[in-house]
Amino acid sequence: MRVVKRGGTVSAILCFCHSGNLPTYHGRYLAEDNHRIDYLNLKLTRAFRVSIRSRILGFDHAVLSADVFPQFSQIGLVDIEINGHLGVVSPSDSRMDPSDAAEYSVARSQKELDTLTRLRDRHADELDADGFPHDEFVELLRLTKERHEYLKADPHRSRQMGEVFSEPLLIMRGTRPMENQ
Amino acid sequence: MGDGQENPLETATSGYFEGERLELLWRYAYRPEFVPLLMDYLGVQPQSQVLDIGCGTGFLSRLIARSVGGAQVTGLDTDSASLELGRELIVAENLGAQVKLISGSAYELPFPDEHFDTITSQTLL
Repeated sequence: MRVVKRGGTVSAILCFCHSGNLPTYHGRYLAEDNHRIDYLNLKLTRAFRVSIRSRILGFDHAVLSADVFPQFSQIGLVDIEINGHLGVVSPSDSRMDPSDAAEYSVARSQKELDTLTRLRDRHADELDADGFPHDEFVELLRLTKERHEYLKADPHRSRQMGEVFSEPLLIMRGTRPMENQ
Repeated sequence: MGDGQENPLETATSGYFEGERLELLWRYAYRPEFVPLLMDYLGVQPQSQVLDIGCGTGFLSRLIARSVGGAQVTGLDTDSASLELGRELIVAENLGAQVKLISGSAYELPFPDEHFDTITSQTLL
């Protein structure tokens, strides 16, 4: 199946926070255990990409970035490139009114907790085998809940944290060759 | 996935950013000054046949249609609630001549070969 015409383009707009289908709400703020939660998130992401996503998709996702390259290449696209990044939404975006910013922050926290919970329920044993043990999963969930409680306690914290979150999109593009390859 | 299919990678793709919340997420996306650059990146031309896979509420589909006159955009998603909201927005924004949203899976694209000039997706991968 090749629904794109010869010479046509295939692109994917990605967000750093979703890389590998595992969003994490990275941000800049000062709180106890901030470094620990970043460490655990990164460790979980590595284990997820290596043990689960790679197995399901049949690609090597051990590398933390630019994972679309091998996927695009494997389906025969050429001239694969990263085009850059564009500004998108964040709680600190000046266009965003406070009520929308608050709703956005709540939704993101709910999504992150939901994702972690589902990962734990479905894949805890696999992740444990690939270097993310059960006790660290419990710790990450606890720290994540505490972080969101900390952020929700003061709306300014969410906006400040979002400042580093405001331009995360990048675009990867490839072209279908004019001739069969 | 909205149609009840089991997707082993759905861990991050369903839940709190569907429907109205998904629309909220993208309402502020793409600063206007970047939109022409985005269209250039995506390779969208007037009269292009564009496929937006995993379109959700069709935010990107509608943005493409508004930005590139004549572009014909097809959005594909499995989440019926998001598609329903997206169709309402298409009508509200008077984009019915350019955008249509279809229920279907990225794993089994319901289109003939060599049908589109440009295929894109937004935070699907």
